[in-house]
Amino acid sequence: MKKMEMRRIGYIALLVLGIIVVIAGVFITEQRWGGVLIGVGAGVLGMSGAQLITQQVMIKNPGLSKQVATEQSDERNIQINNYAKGKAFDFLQVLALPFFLVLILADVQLWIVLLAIVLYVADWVVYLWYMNRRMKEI
Amino acid sequence: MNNRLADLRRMQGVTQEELADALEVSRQTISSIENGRYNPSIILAFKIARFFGTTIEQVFIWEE
Repeated sequence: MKKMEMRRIGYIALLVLGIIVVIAGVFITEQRWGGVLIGVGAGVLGMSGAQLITQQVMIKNPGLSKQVATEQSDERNIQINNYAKGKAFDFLQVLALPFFLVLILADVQLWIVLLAIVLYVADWVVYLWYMNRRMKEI
Repeated sequence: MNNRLADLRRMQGVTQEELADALEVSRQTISSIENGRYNPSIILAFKIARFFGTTIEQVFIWEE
C-alpha cells in the first residue's frame, strides 16, 4: 500500500510538471521550442493522468486488480509476450538495411544516416549484452 | 506432451477458473495446458501436481 501511495505521489508530481511544461510551451515565443515543450508536456500529462485513473479504478475494484496482477505474472502470457518481442526484433533486422538504403538514396543529411546506424548497432549491443548476461545466469 | 489435467480437475469437481485462481495463473493457461497446446514450467507442473495431491508423472505423460 505504501508503495502504491508513493507511486501515486510520483504520478501527481508528473501531472503537475506536465501542466507546467505545457503552460511554459504556450508562453514561449520561439515557435520550435514552444512546440517541443507543449508536445513533451502533453505526453507527460497524458501518461501520468492515465496512470492515476488506472490506479483509482484498481483501488475501487480489488477483484480487477488481482486479475490484472495474475495476467501480468502468468507464465504463458510472459512467454507469449517474449515471443512477440523476439519476432518484432527479427522484423526490425529485416527492415533496417532497406531503411538505411532508402535514407542514402533520398540524399538525407549524413548525420541522420549515421544516427540510424548507431541506433541499429546499439540495438545489437543491447541484445548481445543480455544474451551474455543470461548465459552466465542460467 | 499429453496430460490428465482435465480428467483430474473434473474428478475433483473443480472449474478451470477455480484451478487458475488457486495456482495464480490465468484461466487461458489452464485451458491451453488441458488442450496440450502449452507445456507448463516445472514449477507450475509441481503446483498442479500438489493441488491434486499427486505426482507430476500422474498428471503429465511424456512419451519419446
